[in-house]
Amino acid sequence: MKYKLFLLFLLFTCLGFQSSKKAPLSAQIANYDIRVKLDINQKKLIAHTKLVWKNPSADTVSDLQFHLYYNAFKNSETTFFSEKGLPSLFKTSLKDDCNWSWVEIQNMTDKYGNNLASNMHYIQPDDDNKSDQTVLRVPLPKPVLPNESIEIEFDWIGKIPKTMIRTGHNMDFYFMAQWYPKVGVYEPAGMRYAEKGGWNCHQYHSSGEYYGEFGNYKVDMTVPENYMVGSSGTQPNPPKNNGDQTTTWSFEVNDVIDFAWGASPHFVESKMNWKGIKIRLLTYPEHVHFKERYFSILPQALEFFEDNFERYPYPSLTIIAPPFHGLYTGGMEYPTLITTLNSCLLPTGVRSTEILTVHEFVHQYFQQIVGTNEMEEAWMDEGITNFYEGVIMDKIYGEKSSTIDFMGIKAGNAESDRVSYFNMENPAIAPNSLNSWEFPGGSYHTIQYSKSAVWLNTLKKIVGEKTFKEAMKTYYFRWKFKHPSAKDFVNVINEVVAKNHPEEFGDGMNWFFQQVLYGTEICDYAISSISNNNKITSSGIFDNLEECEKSEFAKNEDDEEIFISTVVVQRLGNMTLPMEILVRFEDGKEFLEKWDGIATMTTFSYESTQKIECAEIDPYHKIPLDKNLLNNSFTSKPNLSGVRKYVNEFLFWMQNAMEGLGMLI
Amino acid sequence: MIIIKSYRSGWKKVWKNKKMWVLLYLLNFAFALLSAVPFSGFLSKSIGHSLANLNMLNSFDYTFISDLVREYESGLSVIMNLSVGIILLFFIFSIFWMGGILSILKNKENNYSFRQFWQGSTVYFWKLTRLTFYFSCFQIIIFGFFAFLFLRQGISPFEIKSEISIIKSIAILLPIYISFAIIIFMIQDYAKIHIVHDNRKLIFQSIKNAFQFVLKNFGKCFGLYLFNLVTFAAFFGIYWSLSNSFKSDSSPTIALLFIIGQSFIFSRIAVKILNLGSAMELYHTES
Repeated sequence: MKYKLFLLFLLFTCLGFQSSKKAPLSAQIANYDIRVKLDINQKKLIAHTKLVWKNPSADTVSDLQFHLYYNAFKNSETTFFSEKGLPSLFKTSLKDDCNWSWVEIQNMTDKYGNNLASNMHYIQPDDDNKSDQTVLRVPLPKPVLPNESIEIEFDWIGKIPKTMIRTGHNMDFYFMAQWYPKVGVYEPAGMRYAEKGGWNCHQYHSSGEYYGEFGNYKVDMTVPENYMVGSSGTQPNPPKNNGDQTTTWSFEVNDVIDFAWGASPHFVESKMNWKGIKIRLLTYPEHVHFKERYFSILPQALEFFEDNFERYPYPSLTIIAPPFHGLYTGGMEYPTLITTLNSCLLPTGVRSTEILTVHEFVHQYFQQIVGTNEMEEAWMDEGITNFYEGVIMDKIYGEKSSTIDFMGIKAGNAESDRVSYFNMENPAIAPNSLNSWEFPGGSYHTIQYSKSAVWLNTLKKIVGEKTFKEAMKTYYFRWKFKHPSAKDFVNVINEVVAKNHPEEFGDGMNWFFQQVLYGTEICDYAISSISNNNKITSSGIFDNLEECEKSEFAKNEDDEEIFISTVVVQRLGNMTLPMEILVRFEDGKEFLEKWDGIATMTTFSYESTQKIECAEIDPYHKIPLDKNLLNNSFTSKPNLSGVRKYVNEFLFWMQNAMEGLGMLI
Repeated sequence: MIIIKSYRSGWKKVWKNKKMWVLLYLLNFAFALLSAVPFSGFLSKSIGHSLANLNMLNSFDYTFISDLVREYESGLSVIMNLSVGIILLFFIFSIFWMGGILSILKNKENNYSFRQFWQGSTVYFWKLTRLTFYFSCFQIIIFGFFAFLFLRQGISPFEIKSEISIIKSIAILLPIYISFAIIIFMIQDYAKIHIVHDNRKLIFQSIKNAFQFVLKNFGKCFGLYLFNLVTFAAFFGIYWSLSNSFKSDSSPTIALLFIIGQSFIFSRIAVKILNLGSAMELYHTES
């Protein structure tokens, strides 16, 4: 009996051990072991990296390609500065200190001792700008065979820039993003748009952020002993004092596409636990009172994703709220680490703290887990993230007050995206499908963030919330810890929509994506007029030339006048969407008409004893993509109550302005 | 007690010259109508048939406002330019009427007469115009000086450690600036009174006398000015609480809001007369 019990115990122990050792979430292709020392006097990072890179393809890979992001700030001729121009603040800093920054690999060997550094050279795959050194190619003496790994080690030094583009230092605040030589993504044939295997490793441009390969990180950061470190990942051990006035902080994280960290002697740490996930907030003393706002909004965002997708898969999440002098590092997403912004200058009703926290958290799913390429298809992370930011914020704070609710001025999050998109000087300036650096006239942000959110919202309302939710969930589970492209997204949406609505959208939604994703069409439908005319009886001379039938208003058997009523609907924009038109008669009867929206004009006519009271396009507000919502409805008689209210307020403020200026007399 | 006496006397002058009070209100209303009427016509024409009108009846609607401003920008900008023009025109006329107001208030015995009002307006117009110009320059210099003090520490993240220093600067500089601006306004009031009393050729003499008068009687002048400011704040408070105590989403409530708003404008004009009338009383008593 005891023997059997022992066997049973052994069996359960083994099973327990098996289940506690989780399977990797990703293919774990790029695995880093970095030891870095922060030199606050020289503003430098002095580091050693050991990289194990697995060849994910059936190709024989003869080189490695690395991003050296800090070289974007090396001189005025880099691609980054050529596109953006030198920021004025940066110019001042350069004038005083010659504060250019760079990263340099000092040596590189593989595990056989081969010197890889001798042949490495910079390449410029995007623009052939020889002054740009943000991509390094390392030819390998011994190619990496299919599904084999290569292990390399190298020493490197990075000169830290003044805070800009979410990285750098200012005073004694440091935030290290895009800070280390980072291997690109090798795309085998068939992955995304690759026709043959090759590296996807773009230069650092002024627009667009990054594209990273999944892997594991072990990073030891040695900083002055009075500094506190906040980082991606979790700490396997407490910080170790080295006895030379420095402390080494160790962090580890698996299945992520990047790694960032920050350090400061002034961080104030707050912690909370949400269903076993350790949340760590590092903020400055003057911002400690924002803690409640972070710890209130973040669990709600976590809850939303647990309900709609899956539980946040990492054990920790760190928030770094930079100080005012670290402003340019705020509002950014890294795996298991987000930076936000807060300011004592802003009233609570301006919800920027909550918005940024939600936005950057959503990125944990849409780019950190679904690893899209932000340099080529930024809408796939920024657009989807902005959309879910709107969904979450509107759900929590109300769709008319989730961005601002201050002194009677209110604005919702999703509606702000719509306003931002249509308030562009030219909303048709570019499609979403351009590479990040190709957007003309500074349109990148609004098109990729706002326009995408607006058309995703429209898509949700056209196909229905249930179908949209299922489609997004399918997309997420099919592509988590992988690298999808826009066509993969479109395929999933088409598949789920066609399955759920075979009659209406049996051919999928390509007609929609062609216009909103690959096109620049603008949607604007309008009711241009309503007419209610009496029906006239037949009149004139018929068979008898001596007899003239006089025209009269036609009446029915109950002696009620009959009207011929017409609604004229126009398509003013070049986007075509199926439309619903609600026509309401004076007796309250309503007709919901459907129109394919393709012609430039259509009419709906009725013969009735009642007149049309009003007509409205898109009565259930499914099309936020419609540029002008004011012309979506028409009443046969003007309704001026609202006009009177606004005129009254205008008159009042006009009188006050006149009296106010009179104070100068 | 001289402050209370002047303040009460100011109210008496408002009441005694109620015809002028009504006239000033009607002029203000008429000028405002010059832009409100086109605005009404514009809104009726552009969105009078839209159901979006209903959104206007609710509270602030960001989507509605944005669509309106974007889609009807050209029409709205004409209205806005017209409004700015009318405000400036009213400003010039206000300088003109100021002479009339002061002439009426100067006259202790007689009741209000239109003739005296228009006569005063004509006589003092150029002097009051120059005075307005000089004091506007003073105000700009004072504002520029405080703006310089505020910006000197920097507001960019590369220049200051924390936004707390911005808040501290505002907390210190703003009250000082407001106090200075009030003092300048106060001196300007006494300069106007001096112009009407002495009618000297050079207004610098009046400015100098006003400076001297205010410096000599600073506590009284400042106290009286604060009394008048508090009166204005009280009227505004009443307006604010009344106008926010109900939702104006129907014709009767819109009409009620109109009456409350116009009552506030009417009281605001009363405070303007009160301010000048009480200052004139103080000037008479102390000089």
